[in-house]
Amino acid sequence: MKQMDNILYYSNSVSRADENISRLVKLADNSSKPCRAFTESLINNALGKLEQLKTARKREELNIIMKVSWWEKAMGLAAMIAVVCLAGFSILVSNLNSFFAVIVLTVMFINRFIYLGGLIL
Amino acid sequence: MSNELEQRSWVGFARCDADIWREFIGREIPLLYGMFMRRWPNPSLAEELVQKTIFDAARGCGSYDPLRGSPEEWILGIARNNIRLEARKRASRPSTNGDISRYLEAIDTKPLPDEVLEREETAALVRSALSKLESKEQTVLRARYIEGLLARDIARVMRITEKAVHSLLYRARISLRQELKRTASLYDKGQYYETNG
Repeated sequence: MKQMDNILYYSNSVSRADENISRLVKLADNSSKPCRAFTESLINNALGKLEQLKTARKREELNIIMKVSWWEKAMGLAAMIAVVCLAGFSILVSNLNSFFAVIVLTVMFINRFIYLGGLIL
Repeated sequence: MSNELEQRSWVGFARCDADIWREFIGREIPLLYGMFMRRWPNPSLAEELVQKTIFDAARGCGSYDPLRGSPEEWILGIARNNIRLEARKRASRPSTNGDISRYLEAIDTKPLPDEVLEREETAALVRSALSKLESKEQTVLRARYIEGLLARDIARVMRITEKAVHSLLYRARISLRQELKRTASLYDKGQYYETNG
């Protein structure tokens, strides 16, 4: 642990010293303009940030378009409840015959289609 | 630029058009840097404030309204606000009276206060200490910290390997630190001007 602490202290002190040296050496610069590397890197980063914001804004707009109305939500909820109830019911009566299981599955699919249809419309 | 073209460019700016923004940022960075340097003669702080201003502008791109004025005026407002924030931050910090050598002693562990960096004698000390280093060490320090070049670019310019650049940088940093401490102690004892004229 102590060794790890030493490593951490060493790396922190190296970066701190490096940072301080960097700030000091820059004082020796007589130019009144920032260096080219700084300018280029800042332009690229700022444009990247701008692009990110534009993408986020577009996504937000898309979410507004895809917003589901209350009746669609209600339909979806009803369909889900129906599916769960039918599935439970089918487990209970599964021992009766395979014909019944086919009916249950068909109803489940129909319910799902109704739900998806509601979302699309 | 004609008025109509200018207005179109402002609208493009408000729509966060990348090309218009690229041109605008490229034009504004030196102006903002000069503005911050006139307020506090500290290149690192000026870079930090320019970066903050540009990012604040990019984040608030949607809030720019062309009807209220030009993008230049808008970004100047952001810059002025950042100056106010920095001044407020400084006002709440403890004062930095004392010898430069005291701060240089703690160079490995504590950040150098901006107020110390902004003293005229600090810049003079750095220039003096740098001039006493070997030519290669001066070159590598200037390339890395003033020109902001990466090790591979320095290696290409100096025609040495990247590993050699790292090793040279390491040695140059140690030499500069020693020279700074030596020069600062001379300065504090009042012997600096006797030895440097």
